[in-house]
Amino acid sequence: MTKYGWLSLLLSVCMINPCYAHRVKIFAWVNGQAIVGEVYFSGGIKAQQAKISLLDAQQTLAVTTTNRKGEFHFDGLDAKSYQLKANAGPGHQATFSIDAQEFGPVSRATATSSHQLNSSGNSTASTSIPTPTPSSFDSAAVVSLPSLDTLSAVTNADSSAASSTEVNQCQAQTRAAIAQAIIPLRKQLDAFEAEIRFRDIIGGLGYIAGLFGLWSMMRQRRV
Amino acid sequence: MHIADGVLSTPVLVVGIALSAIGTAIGLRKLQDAQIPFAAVLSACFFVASLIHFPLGPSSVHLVFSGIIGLLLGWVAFPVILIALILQAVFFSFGGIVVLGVNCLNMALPAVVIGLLLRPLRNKISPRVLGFLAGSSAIVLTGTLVSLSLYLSGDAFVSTANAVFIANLPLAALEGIIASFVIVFINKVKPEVLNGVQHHD
Repeated sequence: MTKYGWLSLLLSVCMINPCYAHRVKIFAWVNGQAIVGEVYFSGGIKAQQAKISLLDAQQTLAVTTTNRKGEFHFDGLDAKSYQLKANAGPGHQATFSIDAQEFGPVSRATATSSHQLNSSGNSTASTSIPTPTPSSFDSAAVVSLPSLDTLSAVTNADSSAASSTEVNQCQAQTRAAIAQAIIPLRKQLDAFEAEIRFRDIIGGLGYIAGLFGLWSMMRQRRV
Repeated sequence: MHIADGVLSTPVLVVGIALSAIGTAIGLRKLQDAQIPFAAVLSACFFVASLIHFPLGPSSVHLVFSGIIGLLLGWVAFPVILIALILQAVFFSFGGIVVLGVNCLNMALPAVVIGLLLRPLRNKISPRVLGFLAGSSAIVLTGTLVSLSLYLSGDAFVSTANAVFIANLPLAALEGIIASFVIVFINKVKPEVLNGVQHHD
């Protein structure tokens, strides 16, 4: 009875909500000239009124707080590398870095992204491609990636100034479109990384049993 | 409850590590062979308690169980909580490795204090009240220590302390109720744990 009592106590504790945890996560991405992001506790609960600082080389540039959905944004930024620091209540802090490359050279590219992605796809088709992707399964993103190389190769051959700027613009737009397209994926990955997995819990309990068992064993040997 | 890495100043971190090391040494000395399985079970409880997590206002809180550990084990709370905290930091990224000493001190010291204060009362008041007092006062004490560590690292004490208290009072009530159930349960199922363990020292 007592044995099962303890076991059931432990199990009931395990079972109530095994996927929730206490850790703050901040995730952000670039949208045009703004940095947009969200702060949440692992387990998905949004951190409201968390203080967000925008830093550039340890210098605080701006401070804001998250809204009810745990979201925040900084507008009108130069294309530089930034660090974001989230402080969600006493002692809960998380950081995130934004690379300058994420801004991309042309900010208006994001607005016309879907159209430009198609046009770059078309231009790939018109110029000769070494390996055309046969499967329709790998869609736009795969097709547009080799196009960058192909186009720049064409530019080098022609060495005409007009087509060079066109290609640069095209590249920038494609890059922005890809960046935009993978944001949901990055979000999902970030949330996945923060998730507590059952095997971690079981592993931790195993460690505890093992460590105390070891201690017990050492004590017995000494006596 | 778990302070993240990079928040506290170095002196606070060093003092936390030193005091936790002393506490753990005392705890290991006091840990009797018969207590080892029991200590392991409580360590496992502490390890999983932080996964039970409630949204509360702008923040979120989780159970700690340090009051129960202190009431049942006294100084042994230090090694018990330290092991669980190490594993939480490694597996779940709760808190951090550098800040481990401070976090351990903030949670284990209230447990020890509660053990010392409430153990003599165990036969005088009902297990229900005993459990509630242990659970809730541990949270309040831990909240105070967390505010203090943040204050010593440069935060404004009043605003931090306010935030910690507002966040922790409902948790203290909740933890008190759960601790009360646990102590009543232990008293029914295995009363010798409540008396026997306390009897040794």
